[in-house]
Amino acid sequence: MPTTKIYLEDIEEIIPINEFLEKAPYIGVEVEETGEDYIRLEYTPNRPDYGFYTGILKSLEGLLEKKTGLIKYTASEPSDNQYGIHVEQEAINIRPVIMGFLVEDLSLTDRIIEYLINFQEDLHNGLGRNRRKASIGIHDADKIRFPIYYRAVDSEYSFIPLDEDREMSIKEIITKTEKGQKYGGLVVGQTYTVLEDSTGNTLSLPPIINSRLTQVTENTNRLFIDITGTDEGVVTDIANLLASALQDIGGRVTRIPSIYPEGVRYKAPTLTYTEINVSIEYIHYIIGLEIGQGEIIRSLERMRYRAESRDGSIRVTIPPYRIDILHPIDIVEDVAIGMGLWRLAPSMDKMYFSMGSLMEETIFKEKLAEILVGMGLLEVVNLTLISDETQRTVLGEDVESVRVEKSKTPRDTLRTSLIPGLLETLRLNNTSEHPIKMFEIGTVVRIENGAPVERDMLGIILSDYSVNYGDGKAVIDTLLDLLGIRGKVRYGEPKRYCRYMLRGRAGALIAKDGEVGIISEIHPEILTKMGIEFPAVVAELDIHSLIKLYQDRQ
Amino acid sequence: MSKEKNRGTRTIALPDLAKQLGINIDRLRGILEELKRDGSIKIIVEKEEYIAPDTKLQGKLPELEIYKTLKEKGEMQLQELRGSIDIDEKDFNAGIAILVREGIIGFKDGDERRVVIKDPNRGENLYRRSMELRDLIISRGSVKLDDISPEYRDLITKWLRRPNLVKRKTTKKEYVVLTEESEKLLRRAKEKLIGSITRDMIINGTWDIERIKVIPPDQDTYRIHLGRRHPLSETIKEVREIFLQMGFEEIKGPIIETAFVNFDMLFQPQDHPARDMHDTLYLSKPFDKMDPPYREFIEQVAATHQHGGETGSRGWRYKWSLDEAKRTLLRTHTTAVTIRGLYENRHRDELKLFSIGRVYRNETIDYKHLSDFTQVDGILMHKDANLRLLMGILETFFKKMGAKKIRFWPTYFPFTEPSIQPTVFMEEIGEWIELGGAGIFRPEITLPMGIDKPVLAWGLGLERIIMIRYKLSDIREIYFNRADWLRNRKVLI
Repeated sequence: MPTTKIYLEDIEEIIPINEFLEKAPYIGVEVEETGEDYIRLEYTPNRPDYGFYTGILKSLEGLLEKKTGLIKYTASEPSDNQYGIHVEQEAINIRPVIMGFLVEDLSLTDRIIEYLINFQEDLHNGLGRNRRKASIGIHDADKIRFPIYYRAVDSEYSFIPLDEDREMSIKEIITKTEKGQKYGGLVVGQTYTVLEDSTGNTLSLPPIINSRLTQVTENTNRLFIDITGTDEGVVTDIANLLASALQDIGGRVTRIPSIYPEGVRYKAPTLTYTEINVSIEYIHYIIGLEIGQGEIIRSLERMRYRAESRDGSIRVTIPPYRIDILHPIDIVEDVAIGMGLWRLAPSMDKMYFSMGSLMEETIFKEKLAEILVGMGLLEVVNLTLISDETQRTVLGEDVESVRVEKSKTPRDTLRTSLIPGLLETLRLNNTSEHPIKMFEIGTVVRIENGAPVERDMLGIILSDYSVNYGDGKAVIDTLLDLLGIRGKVRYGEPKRYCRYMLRGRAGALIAKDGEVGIISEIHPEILTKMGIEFPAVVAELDIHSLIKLYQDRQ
Repeated sequence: MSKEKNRGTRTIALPDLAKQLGINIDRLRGILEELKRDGSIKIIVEKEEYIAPDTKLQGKLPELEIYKTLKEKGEMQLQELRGSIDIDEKDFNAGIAILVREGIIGFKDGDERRVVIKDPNRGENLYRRSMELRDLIISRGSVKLDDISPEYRDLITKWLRRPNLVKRKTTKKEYVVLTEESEKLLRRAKEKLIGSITRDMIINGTWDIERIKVIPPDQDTYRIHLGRRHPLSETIKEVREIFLQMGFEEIKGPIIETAFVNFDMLFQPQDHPARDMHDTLYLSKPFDKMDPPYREFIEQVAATHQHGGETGSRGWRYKWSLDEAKRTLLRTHTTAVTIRGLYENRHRDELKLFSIGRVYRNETIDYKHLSDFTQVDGILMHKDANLRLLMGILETFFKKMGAKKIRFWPTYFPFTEPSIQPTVFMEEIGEWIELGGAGIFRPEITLPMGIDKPVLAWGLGLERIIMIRYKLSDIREIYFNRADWLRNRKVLI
């Protein structure tokens, strides 16, 4: 989850720190780290506005009733028609959307710049989907001579990128700089887009890197922000989020029109306020409390909306930075949050009566476990993902299994049998007091007729200073006998021998419809390969076959 | 070692008697206890003292080293003497003190820096006796105090005072005084003392309470290794029981799932970061695509994602792809099971379902993370269901699981709105912790299914609870299956 670092000084200006810490969880942010002069808060991705410190502060100010209601954000049109972003057709084919605006009257401090960079990164990673859908360039506007040109160039094009001290070609940037290596791959093909000003100076190479020329410092008081991307909706949202955050700290926003070949296409930020009607009945129904109309309105005002009642409904005005409101249900949630979730009492009054039930297979498995525990076996539970190598060592090179892609661990395949896991368990217990008698009930995934099939299995392993096939068969015979299905099964030669099975010490349980399980001593070669010091006998039975035999036992 | 005495009695040490009778010493004690009660035998306890070597006796005795060196040189500077002997400072000082106290050496003309031998005879005598005593004790391992010649008695006393040189060991030796009569009794008793009452004795009536071998009440025993359920199963059973009490039906679903069920039906947009291969385990070829179930429902899901369909939502505003929905993965949550259950039971008036099962994430395995773990999910559909009922269910559930207090914080999940984060106070660790997640399914999920009633949903991972209960600091411990832990972990009720 993304985080925002806020300096205590900036919190204390508005809210006492204790009150802040106590109530922060009630707007859905959590303290992740406490530093000497700052705290780092984790926020949920539906609230990208919390990526900038004012986003969190204005929410808490609302909840604590220090400031409530809607905040008005505005943007003006440029006074001069030289302000514009001219978009070349070829650039549209590469990264089609570009929007930009000016922010003036700012007094930037190191802290504000740090906040801004954090916000930019969170927007890149979250809404921007690692800059694929949208990326942001923040520039010192005083270094730019408008208008701006959005152009397509080839990889020989060169400029001095941010954090470098010499001119580099795009080819060099994407191979040699950190940002280039990370984001160069977002541009498909040999042509790139750049932003240039009217004197031909490069401003940026979106979505990869800005130029050094327009770097923002403490002395900057006018910003030009460009947002480019592949998704018009996301670029619009990001423009609104940035513009409202910068207005929170006193910035004055001026739209720079994006002039496409056919004419002006975008004027960002839109700063559009939308309205939504939510019925009071719906609010009561979902929350489960008859909240008075006035209280609903106050709750929404605490959540920084404008809310008015209209014929049994509440008309809610949504500020442009609340991009998470998709449906009236989102407003209902904010009524609950605005009221304070701590004020809602849990209630079982509306719980209706019904009979609970377990699956038949659960009841059967519990019975199996009860019998086996009675025989002195310990239950074990293994992971269902196993390393393909272990599986092949135990079962043989020809084992077919379901593999997963790009696993971060060596456990990259679903087990097709419980035996490899049981042998790993046995190895871990080399130094435990023997005898070791264990069972596992779990799911395996086999490939049958070319398709994966999930099967529930019972696995048994017995190990001691000496142990043999007969010890395993005794457990199985007893179990089958207690289930009343001993007579439905005969023992015979296994259809196939897996690598771990020892010829002459293995048998298959055969029912009317075929094999339902196997019993075998572990081949000493496999014991050695697995690093096991004790002999062992194992059994593996298909639980659903047992259930079927049980149901047909008469 | 037996001492023959007159008039047909003899005295014999207990171990020797046990050997003669061919029984072990504990059994003999049992027999003797009986006979002692009748007064037919007498037991004499003799305490014997032994002198045994301690750690320092093997090394150099400092007083002897000093004496030897000084004897060669006649007279030396204290500093020089110190330098020519390879022992540590403390031992050196102790050695000097001994020799001075014995009057063997002294300081020349009261000059504390020059050392001379004052009494060579006493010196030789001490040297010889010390060496002999040392050899005796070392060669014999331990020497009975009575067996040590009186010549060494004073040395023994002094050595016992010195740290770690020799030690005194006291052994208790028990002798039995036997008469001809008692020997007969003993042999008979040996045959008949009852260790365990047998079936034969009961059937034949040959048991005799008087001859029951005495077992001390605090006798040492061995550990019984029992068969036992795994803690994960015990926790699952407990969770099942709570759901049963609240009237929920258990269901299961496939581990291998389509992205359609796991994500799309739950209104998770197709470019959501959780759907990335970085977080989700997708199957590799040839099983990487699978036809989603509920074919008739696909179009409505697509419409809802794109523009909200007929749900009153504005949707996620992107082009939904069937191909992406066909990707096959290992389910990332048991909500994939409950959403199937919900769809299949959508026509019912009310519904309570739960499912417990393994779920998968593409995680690096470490003390906090596993790539497969166990989750439980519950849903409730009813016309009167609401947020406060959800809170009530969670409160009931977590209190039954052992939480003392519970509170709710707002949070976000793509598939529920409102969403709440249960935070519970666990007494075991004395801390508030976040457990699971909960909410009401978004209308974008339920309305396309034709469900107009609220559907409450919540879920949680079980490993966290097990870790708290068994005070585990490493989540992997749960799946290591160490027999010691499985056998000996304490019962939790």
